[in-house]
Amino acid sequence: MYVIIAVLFALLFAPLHATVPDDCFECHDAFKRFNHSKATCTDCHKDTFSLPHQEKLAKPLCAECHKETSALYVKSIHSAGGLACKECHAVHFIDKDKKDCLSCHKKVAHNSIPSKEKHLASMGCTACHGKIKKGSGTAQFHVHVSKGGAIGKEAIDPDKNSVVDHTELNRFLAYLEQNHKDLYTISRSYSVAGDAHGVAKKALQCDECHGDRNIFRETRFRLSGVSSHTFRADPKILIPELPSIKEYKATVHGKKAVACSDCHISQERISDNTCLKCHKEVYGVYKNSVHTKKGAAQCTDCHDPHSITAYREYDAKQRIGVCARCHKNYLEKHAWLPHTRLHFNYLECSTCHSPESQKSIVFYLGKRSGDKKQALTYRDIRDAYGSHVDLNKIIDADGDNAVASQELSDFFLVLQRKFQEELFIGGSIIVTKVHHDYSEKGTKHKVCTTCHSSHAPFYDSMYLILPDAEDQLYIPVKGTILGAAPISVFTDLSLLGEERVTFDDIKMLLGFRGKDRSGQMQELGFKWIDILGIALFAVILIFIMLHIIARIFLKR
Amino acid sequence: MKKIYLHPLPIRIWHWANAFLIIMLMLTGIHLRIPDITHFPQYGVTVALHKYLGYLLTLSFLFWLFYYLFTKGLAKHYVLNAGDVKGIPGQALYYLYTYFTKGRPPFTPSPEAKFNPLQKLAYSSVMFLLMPVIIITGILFSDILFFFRYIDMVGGLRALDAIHVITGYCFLLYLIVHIYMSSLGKNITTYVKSMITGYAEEPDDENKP
Repeated sequence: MYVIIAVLFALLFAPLHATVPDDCFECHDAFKRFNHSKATCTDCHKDTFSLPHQEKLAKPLCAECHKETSALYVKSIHSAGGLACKECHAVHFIDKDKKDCLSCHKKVAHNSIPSKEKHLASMGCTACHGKIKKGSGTAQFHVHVSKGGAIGKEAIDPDKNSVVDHTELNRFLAYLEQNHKDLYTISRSYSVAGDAHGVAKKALQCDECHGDRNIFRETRFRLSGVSSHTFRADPKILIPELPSIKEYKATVHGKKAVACSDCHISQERISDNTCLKCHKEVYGVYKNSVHTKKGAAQCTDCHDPHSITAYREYDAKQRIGVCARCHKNYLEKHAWLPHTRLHFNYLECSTCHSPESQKSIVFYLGKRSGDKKQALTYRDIRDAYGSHVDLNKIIDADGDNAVASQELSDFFLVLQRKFQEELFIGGSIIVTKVHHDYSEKGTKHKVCTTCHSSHAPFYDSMYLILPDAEDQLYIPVKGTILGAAPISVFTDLSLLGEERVTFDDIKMLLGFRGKDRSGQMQELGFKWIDILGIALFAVILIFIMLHIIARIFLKR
Repeated sequence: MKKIYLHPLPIRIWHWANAFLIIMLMLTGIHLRIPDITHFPQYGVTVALHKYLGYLLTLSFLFWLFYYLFTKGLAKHYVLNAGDVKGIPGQALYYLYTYFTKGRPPFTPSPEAKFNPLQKLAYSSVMFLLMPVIIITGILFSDILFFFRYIDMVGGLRALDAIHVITGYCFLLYLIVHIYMSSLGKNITTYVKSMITGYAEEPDDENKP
């Protein structure tokens, strides 16, 4: 009984609803062929309680039915630009007149997409600009063999794991070349469609497909023609792997927000002109050097733009490795140099071959275990202090912007407590400000004293390199600061002919220069050997002179 | 006054060869350590010279060692015994005082005991301590990469350099004293002549350090 009453009430107060669509068309003739799936006029125009309805009806709210789509759309760039649903969708005739991307975006050059034709031919706008669900893409590697004998499954998937990987594909392509030459075609197809309602300001980045490839869930290998087989496929055979892309954000370029497409405007290898866009000054020097004149090396021959390690972080050996890629016989060429290999342990090529570069002695802290030596990492230093450390504050504890030997000494002692005998200070002579002209062949510069002398240029530029949380700290140190206390931490670097004791040192020692004498005495480091030697020499000479005088007077 | 044959020919040859090598090594060594004092044409030449002179010094040292091992003179002439230790103050006093008062020297050399206690002390320190140290450190320097493991054990290149140079200074100090004391004979050249001819005068002759 109650149910019947309820139904009657509902019928009485319900809007016109689908019960009277024809009534609408009596006035709205143009909408007779109206089509919005199963919806009727009053599903959207809800405020038509009676006919004739009021002059002004409320705006229908698409979001009431299209909840998810609307939620996505309100975040999109189109919504932000004030576009309503009906700007693209003919809401009364959803089967026609729908606008697509091209309706508005007619001439998009897409110049910054590498391999533009390939990308645009196989994928629509929303593949990159739409909202893409992970795993929603599919791709297929399709081989059609028109003639020849049947091809068994084992020719494609010899390891029988039902997945065609790179090695198997290459083998199969070789097999086709041998047995079905010119009788097969290869096509690759990609299908990835993002939701056009979620067009964001930024398009999909390269790494989202070429990195972990998790956009593409289903990648297949299909053979048709003489035989028909379908396998799952390793996505790598369809989507070229860009090996550095994961790490790219940590690279020097990545950190400075250089995007893939800033350099990769085609699938061609990038040329010097690409680098030149930003590195104009450096290239200006380089283009006049032997390397360019002989057409020997492009920027990328030496520099890996995807490298996570900045060139300045390379040690001497890694730097030599860059040159040695081409100059393989560098050791034979330097046979004239005494201790050839030893020199190359401490130097890089451009120390000599780029005379205008700034050379520095750089020291680094390392630990050894057995024969292995490696530089300390930031984590090592943090472990020694037991907590996060601000190296700047430790190295310059008194904050006077200069590193005194006492400050370094304290720092070393903390590290030494942690690493004991394992701790060492390594050193090398490297270029800290690169001048890109390596034309100097050095034949007239085989003069040892260019470096083996107290006038060598790198003594004016000595740094202790410490690994900070993100970067490397170059801390200027002077003179023999690192040869100084604590004496148990010896540096591994000793140059014949490096600066020895000077008259000034002796004057300082004798007290003619006062202020921070104890600190300076500590900084003398290994100069003490000469000071003691010379002092004893003087004492003995004086003694002998006295003996001689006595002999003369006593006529002996 | 009779002459005694104190220095056999092989030892005389060794002495002068050794003297030449040590002086050359010192000169080259100073050039290596302080390149601004240039007395050799090229640094690279000096490096090579120092190295090969060092090898020769090693041979010279081995010659000396085996000669005295063979002739059993090592213990006799170089190793200090209790008597020598007691004689050290007397010998020192002689050089500082008695020498001027024209008193008799406390020690007379003979083919059985060539050197006075102070000489023994000086020569044994040089030949048993300084010489091996400078030769071994020098050899480690000759091929740093090859010997790197041992250099590391010493404490690294810088420590090795320090040891080598300190020993070098000791040689320099010794050399000055040695040359000066060679003039304390009857005449200034007496001891030098004796080191050339092999004969020393006896008995009214002092000994040389």
